[in-house]
Amino acid sequence: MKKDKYRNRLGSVLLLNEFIFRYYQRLGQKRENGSLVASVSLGFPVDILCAFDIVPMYPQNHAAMYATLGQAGKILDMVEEKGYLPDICSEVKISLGTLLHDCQLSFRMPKPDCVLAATNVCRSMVKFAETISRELNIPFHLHDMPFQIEYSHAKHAVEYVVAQFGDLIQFLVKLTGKKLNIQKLTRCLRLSAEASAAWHDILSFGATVPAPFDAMDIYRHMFPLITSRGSARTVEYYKMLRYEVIHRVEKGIGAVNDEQYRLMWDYLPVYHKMNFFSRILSKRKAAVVSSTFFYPVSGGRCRASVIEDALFRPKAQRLVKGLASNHLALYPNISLQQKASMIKQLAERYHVHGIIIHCDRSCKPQSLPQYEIKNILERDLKMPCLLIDADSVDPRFFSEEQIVTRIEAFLERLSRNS
Amino acid sequence: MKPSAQPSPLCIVAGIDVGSASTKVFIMDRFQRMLSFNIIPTGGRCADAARRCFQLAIDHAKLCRDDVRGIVSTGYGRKTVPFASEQITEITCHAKGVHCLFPKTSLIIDIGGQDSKAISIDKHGKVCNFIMNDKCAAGTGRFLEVMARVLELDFDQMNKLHQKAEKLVNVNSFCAVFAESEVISLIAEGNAVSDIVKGINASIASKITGLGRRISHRNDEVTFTGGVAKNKGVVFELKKLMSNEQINIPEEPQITGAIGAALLALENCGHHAG
Repeated sequence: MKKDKYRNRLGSVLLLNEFIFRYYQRLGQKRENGSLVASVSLGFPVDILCAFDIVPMYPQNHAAMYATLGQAGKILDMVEEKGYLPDICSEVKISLGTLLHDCQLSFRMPKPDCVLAATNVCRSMVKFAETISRELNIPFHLHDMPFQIEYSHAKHAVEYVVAQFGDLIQFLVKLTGKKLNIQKLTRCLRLSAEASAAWHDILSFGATVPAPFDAMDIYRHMFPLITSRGSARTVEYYKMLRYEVIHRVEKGIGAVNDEQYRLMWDYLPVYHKMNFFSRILSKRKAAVVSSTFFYPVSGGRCRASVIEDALFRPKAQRLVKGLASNHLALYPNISLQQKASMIKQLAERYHVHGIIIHCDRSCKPQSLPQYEIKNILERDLKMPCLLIDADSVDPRFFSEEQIVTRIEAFLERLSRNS
Repeated sequence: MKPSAQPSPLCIVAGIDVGSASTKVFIMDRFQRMLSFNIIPTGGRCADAARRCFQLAIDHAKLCRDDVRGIVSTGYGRKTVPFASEQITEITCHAKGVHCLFPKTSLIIDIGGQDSKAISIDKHGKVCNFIMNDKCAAGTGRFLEVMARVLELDFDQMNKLHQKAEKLVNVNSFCAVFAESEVISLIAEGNAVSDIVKGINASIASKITGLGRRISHRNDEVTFTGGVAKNKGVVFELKKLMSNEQINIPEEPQITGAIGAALLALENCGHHAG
């Protein structure tokens, strides 16, 4: 890797590239070998699929991949030519383009045999799933996960989500002609929990001063956890990453040379500009040490241990309730007040000096409350917060000069206030 | 900021604000006395504009280049000024400059060529919060330029016409470019140009007020800066909307960023504002 005078990137990014390549290779091979493939929205209780030997694939994550590779703009142009409006979420548009119109470049996704979605992320993905099901004439299962106003794992909400697992299992039995294999499910959940635990360890080291990793790097390293849950390869991957991070902590190696400002990032990165943000921040000795986006896929609300807990007390009911609770508590599925509360906890835990809030044009349910969250954080934490407008995936919605000025002014404010 | 170890007794400093529409230079001595200032259109080449404007300001002050000990650049083109010792954003510089001119200011509204910003500052002139125009240039100087071109007027004529308006004709378009079509329609419908001008000014004032209110408190002392602050019609409409606040307009509202940059250059030389 080219040496950068302001930052020290994780060496494990080379392992990641290999992992990504193998993932897409295996996806294609499994399809060719006759395995059933499911298109899954993020937030769906995907672990259960391994009990039926169904291979999950994630169009949203695929869209993020294209953005990281700098290919999203071209694909969005191709998709919009088919008639989709610019206002539609970019991830959904790329997902529709990939599966319905073969708008694909490098790393291709095969056609799915079924589509699975949950309501705990957004309704756009539910509409995407309905559309795919109708256009490809494939079965569709929706898991309804009610929005959580009060953080309480409301008993009735958990019971409602648990009850739907029965429907889901029946759907999968009908689709595959197989029975649920409890040994495979237990193994999958155990490995998911192990990977999640390693991931949480890694994240916790972000609280070290200097932080051993830059969050813009860590976003990329979520790929295995999102795409390959329940796999021994994923566990191994995070063990290696954890080893590298621990080594850095022991040697006092920070991701940013001479770290002076520690920042948090709310929610989605700007996938097509992660290097850009990393460069302009590290040049000014600022490190992004945590993000609210790191927590949802590992079990929501920093509670991956709920799954582990359920596994160590192996009763199916408790296990399924744990799963239901976790999926209800995903960051997009909780209220504005709970989001603000989570950010406050993270800000204290990671000793941050300021918060950057990415107002994602594509993700309106997420971006709508962010203005008020910013007000709450500034009032309660007395901490500078910066709101920037961009799109997580669409590079055409990015005004570089505007953003550079905002970031520089924000850092000047931190500098003069310190 | 990098203050020098020994303040120079003859410290002359300059602030250069390279904006999208105009470039401003302000030269002061260690006692914060103005020696000269200059404003020229930026054009397409920021570096050339910065050099020319700086030279004009030096000539006006009867100085030579070497007399100026510290230069801070700011604005959209701040990085294109290679002879500046530091580049600082216009947010920080405007806060500094306005605090010097109107120390009781708590909210700055700056409307430039394509940027509009609201900056809240504390009693020491430190930035507490800021917000900038999102997504488009509606409500900025560019919008006024487009409108002036459509109406075939210059800004002085627009100011005079605003005073003659008998009613307000709403100009609704969110987009500065689409508003051009809307104004053409309004003219075709027989609306008086003076009434349309009043509507344009009211539209800008409304956007400015909306921006300011997002970070302001109702009893703020407001200072309005930037080229658009020279537009009497906009100022008139703004004062109507912000009737609870005291609104200050500097004598030359375009140079507050350059003043702030010069003050920061002075601090770098070891002279702090007292």
